[in-house]
Amino acid sequence: MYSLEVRNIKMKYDNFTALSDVSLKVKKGEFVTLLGPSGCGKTTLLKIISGFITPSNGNVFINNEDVTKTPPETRDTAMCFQSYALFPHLSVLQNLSFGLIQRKVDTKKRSQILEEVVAQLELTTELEKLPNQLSGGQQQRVALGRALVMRPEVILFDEPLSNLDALLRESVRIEIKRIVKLFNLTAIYVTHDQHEALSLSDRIALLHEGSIIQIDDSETIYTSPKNKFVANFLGSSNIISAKLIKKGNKKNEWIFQSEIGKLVVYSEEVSVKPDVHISWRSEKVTFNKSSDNKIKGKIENIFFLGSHYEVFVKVNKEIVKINVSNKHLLNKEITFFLDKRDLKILED
Amino acid sequence: MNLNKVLILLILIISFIWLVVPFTMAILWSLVDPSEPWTVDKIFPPVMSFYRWNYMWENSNLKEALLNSYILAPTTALFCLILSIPTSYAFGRLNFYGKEIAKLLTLLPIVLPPFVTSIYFSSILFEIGFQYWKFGNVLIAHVVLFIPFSIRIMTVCFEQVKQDVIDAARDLSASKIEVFKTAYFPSLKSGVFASILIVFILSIEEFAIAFIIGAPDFITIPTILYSALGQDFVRPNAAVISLILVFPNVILMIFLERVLRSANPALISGK
Repeated sequence: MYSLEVRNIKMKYDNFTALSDVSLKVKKGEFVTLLGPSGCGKTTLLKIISGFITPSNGNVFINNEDVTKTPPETRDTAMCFQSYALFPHLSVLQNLSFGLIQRKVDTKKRSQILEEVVAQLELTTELEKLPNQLSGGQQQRVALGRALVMRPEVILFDEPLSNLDALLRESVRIEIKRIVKLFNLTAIYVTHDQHEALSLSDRIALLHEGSIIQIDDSETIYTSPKNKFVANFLGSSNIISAKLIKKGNKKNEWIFQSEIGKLVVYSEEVSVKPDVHISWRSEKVTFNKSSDNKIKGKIENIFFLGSHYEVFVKVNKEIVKINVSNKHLLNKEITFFLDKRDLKILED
Repeated sequence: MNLNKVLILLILIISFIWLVVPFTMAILWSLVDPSEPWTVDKIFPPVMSFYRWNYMWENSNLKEALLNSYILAPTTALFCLILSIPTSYAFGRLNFYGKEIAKLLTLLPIVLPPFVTSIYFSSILFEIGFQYWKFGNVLIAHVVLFIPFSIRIMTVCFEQVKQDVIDAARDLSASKIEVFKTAYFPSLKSGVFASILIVFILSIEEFAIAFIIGAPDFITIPTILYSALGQDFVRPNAAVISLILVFPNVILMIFLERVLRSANPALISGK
């Protein structure tokens, strides 16, 4: 049984299509991130799930019940807003208990739920304060707590870390993951930040122009992007066009001719198109001579990024980007190797 | 001395000339005793007493005018506020075709000179048989004339209500009344007070409509003040009436300013 199911959702505003035929199934306790650039439709989808927008077509199911037309007031979801949306004139405690009072939860049960959430979020000393007396991180925790006390079937996050500075973002991210797992919540998380998505999610749904392009677990979506858009959006990729020469001697091996030379690629596909794009992650280069593909090029630019050097290498006429940790390898020319399993054939 | 200091000094001097001097003069003139006139060669009145205050209180329609004015002004303020809310909500929260033009149209009563509005109102009210209920006539005219101020203030307040806060309240199962109380009202509170204050002051000081539509049966403080400034002009008497007109406004402003301070924008925005 799925906690949440979104079936063939379409959302049209006059001539603009915000979402076209989006479907998604989320299991109980699963953390799914809707990732994509601005305007891809991720927030619209979140608002449809929460009930603030009624879709032009399609259905939303929570616990197998069709809630497409159920208003947010009675829908079993709770949202953490990007701006926190705390009630500024109410104290932390009043903010936290607001939803429980609206649902007419009796006083004893209310204090029991509040006590648990307040302890988990370490808000005990802040209860009497007003939201404007709290730091950004504390406000975010109150917003999270306010949603948690509702014990929702699905908890929704709308870019909750975007207003925090980098350090705080990391600690709140850890906190969100811990709390969601602790309460075994089904979570839908909207972000345009790939690091947040990769670190938090059980699965990532990558949206582009109102459609889900790829939905997979973090590792698969990162290592095996389906197309050019996914490869470019997540991490740093090199994408080169290549022509198929022949099937290799070994099983699942394909040999291509590309701008950077002959490439041996591992793919379990039964057939491969003659003209393709091949992608590989900048950090996937090795200097192990036993690797399948040897590439030699001239170093054009070097940027020091703390943990590694970002090196732009000219191979024939193509510029490729590689990550190198060892400074001693950075001479005028560089020879690196690519494992055939790190090369991915893109769909389009 | 830098430019900022020069400007501050200039503002202080202008404020002094604009506010303190006329006020002091009005107070002094109201205390001039009729036994000894205040002539140009004297800095202060030679004899001061409350004779003028007593005289005006006993021998003019001041009591009736005060009662009329202090019933009319708060009623106008309240009606303007209540009637402006639906329009302000539409301007502040809804999107519709021609919104900007509609916003401009609601400002029209301010653009027209008050005497033109007054004459138009008196004729239309008399035409429909309202000539006997003077208080009602002046009230209707004041509401029409001053409602643009309420609409303008309340529109800004409605615009400031954050959609996220409204959504959060709804998401937490709040009823419509509770959404209004929690999400709207904290942002509207300062606007409600500002609207009441401004319309109250405008209504209590309004002369043209009160005179053309109300006089001679319905008199307000400005009606008496203008007659005191007319053919029987007695400066000390005029000073007494003008002070009676101004003092309650000042007290009201101070009171509302304190109330508004508690509804500060930082608290509303949460930042």
